[in-house]
Amino acid sequence: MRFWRLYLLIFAFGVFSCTNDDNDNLPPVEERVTEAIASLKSELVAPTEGWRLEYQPSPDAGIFFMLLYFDENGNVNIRSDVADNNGEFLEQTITYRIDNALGLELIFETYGVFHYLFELNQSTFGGEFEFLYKEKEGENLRFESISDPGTPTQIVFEPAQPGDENLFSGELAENLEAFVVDGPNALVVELPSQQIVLEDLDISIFWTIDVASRNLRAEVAGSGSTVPEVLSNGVLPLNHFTGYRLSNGRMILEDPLEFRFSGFNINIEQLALTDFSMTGPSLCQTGVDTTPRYAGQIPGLGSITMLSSLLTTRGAGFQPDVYQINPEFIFDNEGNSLLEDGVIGDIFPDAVGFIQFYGVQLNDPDIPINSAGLLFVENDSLVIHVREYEPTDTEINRVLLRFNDNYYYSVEGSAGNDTGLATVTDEIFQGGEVYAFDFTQEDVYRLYNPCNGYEIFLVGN
Amino acid sequence: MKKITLNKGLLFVLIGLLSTCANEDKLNVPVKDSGVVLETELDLYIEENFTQEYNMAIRYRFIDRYVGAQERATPPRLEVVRPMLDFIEEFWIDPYMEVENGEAYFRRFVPAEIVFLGGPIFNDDGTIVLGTADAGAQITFTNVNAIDLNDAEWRDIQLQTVFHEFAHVVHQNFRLPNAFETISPAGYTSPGSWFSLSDDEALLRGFVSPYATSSPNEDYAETVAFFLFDATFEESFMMDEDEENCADDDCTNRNEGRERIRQKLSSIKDHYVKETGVSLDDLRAAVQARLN
Repeated sequence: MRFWRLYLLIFAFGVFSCTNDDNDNLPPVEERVTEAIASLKSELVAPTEGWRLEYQPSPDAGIFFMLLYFDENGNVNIRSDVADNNGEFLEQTITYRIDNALGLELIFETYGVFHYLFELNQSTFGGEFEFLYKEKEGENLRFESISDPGTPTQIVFEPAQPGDENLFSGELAENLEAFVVDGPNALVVELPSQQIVLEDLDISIFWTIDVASRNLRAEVAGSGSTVPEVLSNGVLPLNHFTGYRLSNGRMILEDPLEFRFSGFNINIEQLALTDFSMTGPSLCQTGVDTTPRYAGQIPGLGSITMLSSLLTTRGAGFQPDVYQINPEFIFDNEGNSLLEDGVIGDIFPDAVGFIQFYGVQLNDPDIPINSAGLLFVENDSLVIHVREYEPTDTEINRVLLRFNDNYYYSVEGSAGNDTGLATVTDEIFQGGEVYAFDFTQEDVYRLYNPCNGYEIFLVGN
Repeated sequence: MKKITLNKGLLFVLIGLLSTCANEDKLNVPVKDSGVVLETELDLYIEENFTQEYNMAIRYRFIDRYVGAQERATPPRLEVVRPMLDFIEEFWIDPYMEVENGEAYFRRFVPAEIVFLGGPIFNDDGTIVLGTADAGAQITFTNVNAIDLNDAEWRDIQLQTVFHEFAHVVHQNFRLPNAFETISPAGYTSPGSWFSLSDDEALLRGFVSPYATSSPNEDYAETVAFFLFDATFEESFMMDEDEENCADDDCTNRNEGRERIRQKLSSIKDHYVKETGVSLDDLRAAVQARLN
């Protein structure tokens, strides 16, 4: 046994010696690192047409198309189809660096499209700007994101081909941005909804689109080309989520939308969007302002029109209840509080709350079950002062509110101001139609009035 | 280190948060070689006007170590770097150059690294940091991409950050003024709880901001910073509310808080002159002349 140990020791020395000899034959670490960095840099600058990247920052995101041209001096010209920030990222030149830390790292050093995507949604979107080089696969270079907490995003640079620049759809991206401006935006900007009218079939599809993340959720489909028509005919829930990419003027769904409705098989893989204009109808039924309109085709389904909409299942939970809010959280279309700088402050500066009774009977049967108004404190007691509106329903998320001239005071003998309350409610609910949206917390909604852009935040009981 | 953060997760309420920091880092850490090749006009400008002039490195190309492991941040746009350099030169460096003994003080204690970040620093808990510095050795300017000298809020946060951090240098080298911590002895908050105070509550305790309540060192730095950058300092802290209209206890207490701030400021001013030869009054005048 003792001899075996001795042989083992001698063998180990031999192996160790051989290893040391091998190491002695290798160049110093610094030299090898320099060579590796130079080698990757050489790969990056080699393709004459640059690199093509179809970048999907996270599984829920769509695809961002980019062409990258690296030069020897540490600059990279990036063309992308990200139209945000007034087109800043459609083309720009920033600096890059190759480091050796976890391995060879490609770092985009100054702010560009990758950093913009990195910062989206309070930096939770999943974008990256530091990539770990993994390997060369054929002609492609494969990287992984460094900053992803879970499974790292795979990024593959493919040599670009002549004509790849024709795939850019910057104009389409910019035009889709135009749909973002219509809708609720106080405190938090609401994602826009769109109505896709299949003109030849007289069917409308309503989806919520996130043009920053490049994904959409198809929510309902219905018969008709206008919201009242669709609501009167009934709708089919869809609840289909997909990312999308923009390519050569087309919006391509990563996961096609398929359903059967009104005797038709609907299959949407892509939308060719060709004619953009600001000639869409007002979101207010009596309005004269215009909204974005995109005309195009869906293969197999014929002509389509894409319009702005406020119809969404994201506010469908706004149902009969008693809702209240501090009147500070009722805003005009410029974000001014109506209590601090608007009609409530002008007429009822002492109001301590806004209340809406929506189809709910309280203990006091005199309170109209459909009414809205203000709360006050008089002699240490809460006083309710409301105006009645006609019975109504939440149609997906649309609520019609038609006020009448029936008023209620909770304290007998209170010096009510019917005229004042009429002025307040007429202004807030001008047009008689609001759309409800979920807010970030349960039982909190905001009502958006498309006729004047006012927003009311309401908390349910 | 000082951090100005915002929590945007709360319904209807945006709360400014300031977090604690360690202030024991050594000063005048040698400028490290970042490996940057000085081949652009901008890099040469930085080398000549900041690195060679003040032994102060300007970092605008992103390197991981600029933020903590649980923090996420981006570098600035290339085109805002030069305007930002002009900003710190005009509103931070030049005022020191202008006042008596200011240049010597600045050159002796200037931090080794100035880091520019494009946006805020995003924390895992949903808060964002609007301004940060690592006492003495490094000062980080965040949200540089939003540079707008006409935006008073942006400008104030940048100046508050840099003057606050640079004020730490004084007490780290020369200690706090005698009995400084006894002026508002009951006002300091327990660790990590300063952010539950409002500005008014801090004033009632005799502090210029909630963050100033976190420790005597932060109180010192915060008082200096507010005195230098805040155009409304005089009316906010130096003048009492009109006694005729000061009918309730809160008003009386606010005025008592102001008196404590005035005592501390007087103590700090004397300390500055004695230890650095710099008059804070002159420095404030130089800063405010540029802001107005």
